[in-house]
Amino acid sequence: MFEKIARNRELRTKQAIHRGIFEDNLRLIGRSTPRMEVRKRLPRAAKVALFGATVALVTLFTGNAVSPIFFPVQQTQAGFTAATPAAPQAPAASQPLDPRLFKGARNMPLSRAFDLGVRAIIIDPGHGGEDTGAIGRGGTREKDLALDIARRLKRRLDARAQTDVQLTRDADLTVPLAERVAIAHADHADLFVSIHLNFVPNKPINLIETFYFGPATDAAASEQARRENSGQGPGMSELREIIERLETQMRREESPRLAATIQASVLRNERRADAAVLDYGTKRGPFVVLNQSEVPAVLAEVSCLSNPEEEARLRTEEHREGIAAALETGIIDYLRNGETIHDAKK
Amino acid sequence: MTQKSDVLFVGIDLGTSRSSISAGNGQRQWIESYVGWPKDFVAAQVVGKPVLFGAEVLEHRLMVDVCRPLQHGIIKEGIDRSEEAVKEIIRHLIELAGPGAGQKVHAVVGVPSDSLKVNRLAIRKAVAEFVDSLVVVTEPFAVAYSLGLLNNALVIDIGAGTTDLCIMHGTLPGEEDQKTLLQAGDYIDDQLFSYLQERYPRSTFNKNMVRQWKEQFSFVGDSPEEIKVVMPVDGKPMLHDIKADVKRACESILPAIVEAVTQMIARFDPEFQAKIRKNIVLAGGGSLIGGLRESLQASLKEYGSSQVTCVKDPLFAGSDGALKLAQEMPAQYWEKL
Ligand SMILES: [Zn+2]
Repeated sequence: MFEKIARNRELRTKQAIHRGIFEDNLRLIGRSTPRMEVRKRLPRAAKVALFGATVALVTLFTGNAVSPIFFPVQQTQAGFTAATPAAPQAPAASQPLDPRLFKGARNMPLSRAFDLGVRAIIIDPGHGGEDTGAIGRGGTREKDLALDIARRLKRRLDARAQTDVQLTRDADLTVPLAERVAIAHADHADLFVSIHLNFVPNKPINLIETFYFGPATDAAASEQARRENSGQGPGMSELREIIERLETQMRREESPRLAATIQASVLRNERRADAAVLDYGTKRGPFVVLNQSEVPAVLAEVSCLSNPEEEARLRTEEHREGIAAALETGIIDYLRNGETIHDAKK
Repeated sequence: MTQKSDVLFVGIDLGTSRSSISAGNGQRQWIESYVGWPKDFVAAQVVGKPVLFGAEVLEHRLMVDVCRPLQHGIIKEGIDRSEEAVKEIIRHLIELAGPGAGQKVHAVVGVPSDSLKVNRLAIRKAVAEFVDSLVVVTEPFAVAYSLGLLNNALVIDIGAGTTDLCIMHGTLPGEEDQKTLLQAGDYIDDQLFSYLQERYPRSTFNKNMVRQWKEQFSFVGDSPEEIKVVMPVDGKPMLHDIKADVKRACESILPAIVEAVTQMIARFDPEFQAKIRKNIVLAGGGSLIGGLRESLQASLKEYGSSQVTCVKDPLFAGSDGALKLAQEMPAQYWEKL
């Protein structure tokens, strides 16, 4: 008799636990995940891009300057610093490109060459909702910090003209990675910056690093572009497809440059607070967020939450604003780089 | 009966250093949670496979990119190919379990508590590809389930990267019932390495050697045996007695564990506190440290009489519990997940 009661009790306990596990996992797969509404498309400089690409193809077929246009490895690095606080002068969408710019355009950033003028910037605060991200010893959560810094960055960029800044989440929401990328696509983003905070357990270090999606896995795409361009020229029907592929390639090659300017600026800012901060540099990383993105995309680990002193600093508004300002400078440096050269050419 | 063989239930323990699978068809396998990809075409030719696991990775470590995806108990999104590595481990384990053709796989996966908290979605996504239905729980919970300890019990799972504690009180343990400490196997390695470096500055040894010594000799409290190992000094192999250093390193994880246990228990009514203290279970590779059970029990005594036991089969306790849970979960839950 007693045994039976005990067994019944165990059965009921198990049932409660099974239900608990079921509901927990159901929550996890996002039955309650709020979907982000897809925003309306932003205007883009399609005509200008087409024109630019045509010029590029012409250049290719006349046998000139294949490498500078496809693989402009040489880039001027972070020439602009925070010293000049003027707003970036992005060209108007209707402004046609000067074909002369392509002549010997070795140092020209592709964003300029193809008028990938940055207007739509997507800022992606990492994690959110169910996914808290890393948690510092003091209980500070990565998802909250990322959102706060992202909002500050948006506020700063919004104050500048000619940029349209969107956040992938503007609340404590669970947003799957694929959805974040979809937002970038739907908005025809020109830049994608994902904000995260690093976490290195067991080591009391503070470090800054920035990841970008590298062109390596895109070998198939570039190979195909090359194949299409050899032999006789493509017919007009194929042109559109090629342009799209080119554009993707171009934009991706911009990612390391964006990563470099952001890394430099965020590191410079952090050094003021912590002289011992380590520079982990820029790295190619196969991030889900980045590798599906067809725009210059970086993932910045803007701070290190596992470092107790840094966590204490992150609790101050001043430090978070400082990081946002550093991100802003990094983005502007990236844009300026092209601008300076453009001005010089004029 | 055909209904039943349509589905293969598996329990997987995704650990920081070892991962294991227990399947309804009787298969039980484990691998070390290391994944290695050949660095280039030549390396791929030499190793002859696209992906290596565990011991094979260490053997070819100069030729492969190594990833230990849950090293710190959490997956970092994308970095170091962690997600990809988790996928490879799951794929490999399920292959080892050998589901029949057309057989659906229903899996319960136990993961370190912190990864559940930090990166639940990433883990679910990494696993989902290879199974038809999936439930994710914490590792110590799976251990508790395997022992039938659903009420008034505390599981301490000492792994490589983390020590996970979990109190069971008749319901699914919530966040406040679980705690993760970084004082675990790797922490002992780090401590031992630095003690030895300090004591034998002219000797050469690496982390790998230190880990092997720990696995062979780890103990806390008293041990009558000497621990002598060979370390080259200025290139000449010399015998060194490292007993005191091993003891000190192993004992370095104790204070944090004792503190966590007493804190976690303190949240309950005194009546339940006494019951929980009588039902403390040590699991994970760390439970194999000589004298740990006794030391822990002695340290807890000052808070009231305590009973600490070790799980019988630390390597499979987690996956066995996950399998048991998989088999006992109602079918309608599986259909919806
Ligand atoms: Zn993150």
